[in-house]
Amino acid sequence: MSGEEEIRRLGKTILEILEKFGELELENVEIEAEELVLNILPTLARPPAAPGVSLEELTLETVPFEIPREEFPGEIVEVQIGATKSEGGSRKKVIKIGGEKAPPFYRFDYPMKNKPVVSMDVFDYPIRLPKPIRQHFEDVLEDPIAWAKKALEFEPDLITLHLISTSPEYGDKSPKEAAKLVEEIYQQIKDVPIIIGGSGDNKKDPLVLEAAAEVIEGERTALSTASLANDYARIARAAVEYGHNVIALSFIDFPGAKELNNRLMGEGLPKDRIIMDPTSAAVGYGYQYAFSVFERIRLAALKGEELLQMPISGGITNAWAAREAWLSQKKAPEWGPPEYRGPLWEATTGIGLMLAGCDLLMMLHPAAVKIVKTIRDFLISDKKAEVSMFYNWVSMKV
Amino acid sequence: MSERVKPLDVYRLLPGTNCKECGYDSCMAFAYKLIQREAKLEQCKPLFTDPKYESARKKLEELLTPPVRPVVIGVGDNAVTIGGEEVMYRHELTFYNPTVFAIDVHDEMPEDELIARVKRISEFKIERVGQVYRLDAIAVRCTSGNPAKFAECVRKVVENSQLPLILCSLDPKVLEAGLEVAKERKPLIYAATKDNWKEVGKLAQKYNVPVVVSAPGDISTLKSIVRAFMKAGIKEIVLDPGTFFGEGQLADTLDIFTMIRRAAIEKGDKELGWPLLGIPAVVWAGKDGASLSEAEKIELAFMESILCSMLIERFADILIIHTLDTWSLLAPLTLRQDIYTDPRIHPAVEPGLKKLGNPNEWSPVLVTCNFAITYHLVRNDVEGKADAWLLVVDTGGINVESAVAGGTMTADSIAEAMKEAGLEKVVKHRAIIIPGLAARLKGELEDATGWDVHVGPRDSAGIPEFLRKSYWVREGVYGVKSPSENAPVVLTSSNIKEHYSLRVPLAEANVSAWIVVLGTKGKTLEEAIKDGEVSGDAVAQCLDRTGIANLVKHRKLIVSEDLKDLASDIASKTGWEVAVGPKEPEKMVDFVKNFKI
Ligand code: SF4
Repeated sequence: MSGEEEIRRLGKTILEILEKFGELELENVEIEAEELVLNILPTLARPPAAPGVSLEELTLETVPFEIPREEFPGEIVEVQIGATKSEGGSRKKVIKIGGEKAPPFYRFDYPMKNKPVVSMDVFDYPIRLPKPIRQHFEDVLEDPIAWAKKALEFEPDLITLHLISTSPEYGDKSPKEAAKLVEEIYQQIKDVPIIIGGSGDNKKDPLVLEAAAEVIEGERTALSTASLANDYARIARAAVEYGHNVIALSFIDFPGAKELNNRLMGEGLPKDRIIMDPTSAAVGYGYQYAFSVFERIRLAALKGEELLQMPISGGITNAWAAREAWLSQKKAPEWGPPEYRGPLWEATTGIGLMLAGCDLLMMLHPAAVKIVKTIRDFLISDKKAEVSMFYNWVSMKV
Repeated sequence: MSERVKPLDVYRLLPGTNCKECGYDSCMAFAYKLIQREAKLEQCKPLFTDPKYESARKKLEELLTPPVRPVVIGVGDNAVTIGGEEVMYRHELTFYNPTVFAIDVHDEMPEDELIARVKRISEFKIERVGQVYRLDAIAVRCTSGNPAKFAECVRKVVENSQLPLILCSLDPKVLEAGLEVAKERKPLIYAATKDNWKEVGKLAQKYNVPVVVSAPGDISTLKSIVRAFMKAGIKEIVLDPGTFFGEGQLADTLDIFTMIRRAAIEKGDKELGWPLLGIPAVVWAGKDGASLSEAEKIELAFMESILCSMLIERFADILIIHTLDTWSLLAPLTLRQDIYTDPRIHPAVEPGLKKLGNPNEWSPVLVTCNFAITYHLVRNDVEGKADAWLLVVDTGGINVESAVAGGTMTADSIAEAMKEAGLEKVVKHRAIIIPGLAARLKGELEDATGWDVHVGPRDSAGIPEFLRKSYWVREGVYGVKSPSENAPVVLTSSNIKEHYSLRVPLAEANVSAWIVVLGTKGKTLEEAIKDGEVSGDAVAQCLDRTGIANLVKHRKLIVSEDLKDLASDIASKTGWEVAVGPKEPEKMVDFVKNFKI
C-alpha cells in the first residue's frame, strides 16, 4: 500500500469519526481536519453532472419506484371509550381509538388500525354560542339531554357532556347535582359513549369528575380533563376506582404532556386509559403550535417514547375563537357569509389536526362534523384512484 | 430519517482561511449560517474569485441545494419560488417557500368574464393582523383544443395581469402557441406526460421555462420522465403525481404526495426532489358549470377548500384552484400562513406594560398574555381606535384561555405584573380590564389588588366598542379605607376620571368614606346634568338600589358643587340631608376629611 493511500484512508477514518460525533469533537481536531480536506476531496467527489443529452435520443427507461417504507419501533396504545353491558357498562356501541404504527394516514407504512372519531359537544348550561351554531340548537339550549339527542341526529361517533354549570361563573352547581345529570343522561342515551367534561375550573373539576365517575361506574367514560394545574391525582384515582379513562390536558407543551402522563400512570392509571389533549388552536390563532406539538408527540411516540404513546384528543371547537368563523357578514362583508365560513373554519382546523395525529375530535357545528366525517371516511377507504379520468380537469368547462 | 447537511460537511469545503470577508468571524461560523440559510454562498468572495476553489465551490453549491430543489415561476417582483424544502415536519427546521395559490381561467370564457376574473385574481387582497394575503398565479386552461384561441386567451391574461402563469394543455401545439405570447413571463407549462414528453420537454428547453411532469397515480413513470428530462439538462421541473378526490382516492393522493416527499428528503431520491403540484380544482372535473345548482357549487367549494388545506399540510408546493370565493380561500390561505411560520421563532413577546396609541394617566389598562399572536391581535384591534395601556402578563407564550386553565395567568400573576409595571404610579385610576376569557379571575384579582376589575370582551375585536360603551365605574357603593357606619357618604358619577380623582386621593390621605356611584354611563356629573339625566328621583333610586342606607347610621350625603341647584330636590326625594362640597377633588378630600356627621 502506498503512503498516499495510507494517508487517504486515515483521513477517511477521521472524517467518519468526526461525522459520528458531530460538531462536539470539532474544536480539538479542527486543524487536522483542515489539513486533510485536500487529500480527501477526490474520494468524496460526486460524479459530474451529465451534459445535456438531446431529448430526441432519449427513450423512457423503466424506473422502478420502491415505496419508502419506514418501520417505527413504537406503537400507540388502543384506548376503548364506553363499555357494553357484558363489559360492565350500558353502551350499545363502544369506540376504540389509537393503535397506530405509523404517522397519521401514512397507509403505505401501515394502514390505520382505528379511524379518528368525532364527538359533539353538549353543555349543561345555555352557553353563548356563535350564531352559525346556535341556530341548530336554539330549542334545546336549556335541556342538556334534549341537546344530546339533537346532537345525535347529526351522527357523531360519540358525544361529550361538559358540566360547565359547576363553574362559579355559570351557577356554581355542586358536584352532586352535576353527577345527577350524568346519571340521567347515561340512562336516557345508550347508543353511544358519552365523555364527561368539567367546566375548566381547576378547583372544582376534580370534585365534579370524581362524583360523576362514581355514578357511572364501569361505563368506561373519559374524564375530561386532568392537568398539572389541577388535582390530576384525584381524577386519576377516580378513573382507576370506577373504571374510566382520563383525558390529560397539557398546554402546547411537549415535556409537560410527558410529565403529566407519567404522573397519571404513577397514580395507577394504566397507559391504555389515557388520552392526551395537547391543546388545539384555531387556524390563524396559533394553529401551527398545536399542529407541531401534535406531530412532535406522535413522531416521538412512534420512535419509541413510551410516555407519549397515547391517542390524541383535540378541542376542535376552539376554531370558533377565530373571528373568521363567526363575524357577521355586516361586519366583514369581504369575507363572505359566516354560514359557510364558520363550519369551514372548524372543519379545516379539525381535518388539519387529524392529519397531525388527532384521534378524537371534539366539535360543535353539524356541517363541520359532516365534512370531517366524510373526509375521514375518504381517507380510510381502500378504493383506488380513478386515474383515467384525471386530465378531465384541464378541459372542464366551469 | 432525514439526513440534513451538517456544518462540518460545509466547513471542510470552505477555504478555511478565516479571512472574514463573508462578514463572519470564521469559516465555521459561516458554515453554520449557510446551513441555517441565513447566509448566501456568494458572501464568501474567495470561493468565487480564486480559481483554486472552483471545484470546492461547485461541490458546495451541490451540497447546499435542498433535497427539494427550488423552482422559479415568472419574472420580476411577481416571480414566485416553489420548493426549496429540506424537512418533512416543520418542527425539524422550518418550511421555506409558502405554497403558491394559482387560480384557473379557461380559453372559452366570454371575454368580459375572463377579464373580470383575471382582475379579481390579481387584485385579491385580504389584510389580517398586519399580514396581507394575495393570490400568486393564474393557470390558463385550454378547453377549446384550439392553439389560436388559447394564444388569444393567454394574451388577454398577460395584458390584464402581472401574475406568473401556468399554461395548461396536454397538446404541445397549444402550449407552444401560449408560450409564443407569454414567453417573456417565464410561465410554468403543464404538462409533460408519457405520451408527449419529448415535444413538451423541447418546449421547456426552447423557451427556457419550468415544466410540469405529470404521471397520475404512477410514480414510476413520473420518475422515468424526470430522469429523461434531467439527462437532457432540463433544470426546472415540477411534479404532478395526480390529485384525486373521493372515497379512497383522497387517501391515495396523500399517500403519493407523502411517499414522494419522503423519498426526496429522507431517501435522497433526486428524481423526486422537485416541487409538488396539487390540483384541488379536480373536485370540479366532470362538472358542467352551466348546469350546477347553487347548492352543488357551495358543496364543491367547501371540498376544494378542504383539499387545499390538506395538500398544503401534505407537501404541495403549488396549487391550481378553481373557486375564487373569499370564504372558501380564507381558510387555506390562513392555514398556509400558519404552517409556513418559522417554528424557530418563539411565540412569546416581552411581558410588561406597553402603550397602545398615546395613553395618559387616565387611560384604561387592558390585560393580555404574552403569546405573540394574541398580543398582535390586541394591538391591531385597539391602536388607532383608542389610547390605552396594555399590561402583558408572562404566560410563557401561551394564549389567555390556556394560560388561565394551565395556571400561568392567575390573579396573583396579574397582580405581580401590575406591581412590576408600577401601575399605581402610571395611572391615577384603579380600574383594570381583564380579557373575557379570563373572567373567572375577576373576584380573586379584586381581592388581591383592591382594584376594580372589569371583564372585557372575549374577542379583542370588541375592545374599542367595549371602551366606548361599557367602560365606567359600576353603579354601587365603594368603601374607602374600611369605612364604619359613621363614615361620610359622597356621591360621584361613574366617570372614571371624576370618580377616581376623588377616591384615590381619599385613600392616600387615609380618609375613611363611602362613595356612592350614580349610574351615569361614563358621563361626568356636569355632562349628565346637562343631558337632564340627574334629578332628585334618580339619586333616590340610586341610593335605594345600592343599599347604602343599610351601611350607615346617618343620613347625610355629600355632593359636589355640580349638584348645587339640585340639592334641595335630592334632599326632598331621598330624605337625606345634602351637603354641597367643592367641585375640585383636592378640596373635596379635605371637605370629606373634616366633615362632621
Ligand atoms: S469569506 Fe470564506 S474563507 Fe473567508 S472567513 Fe468567510 S467563509 Fe472563510
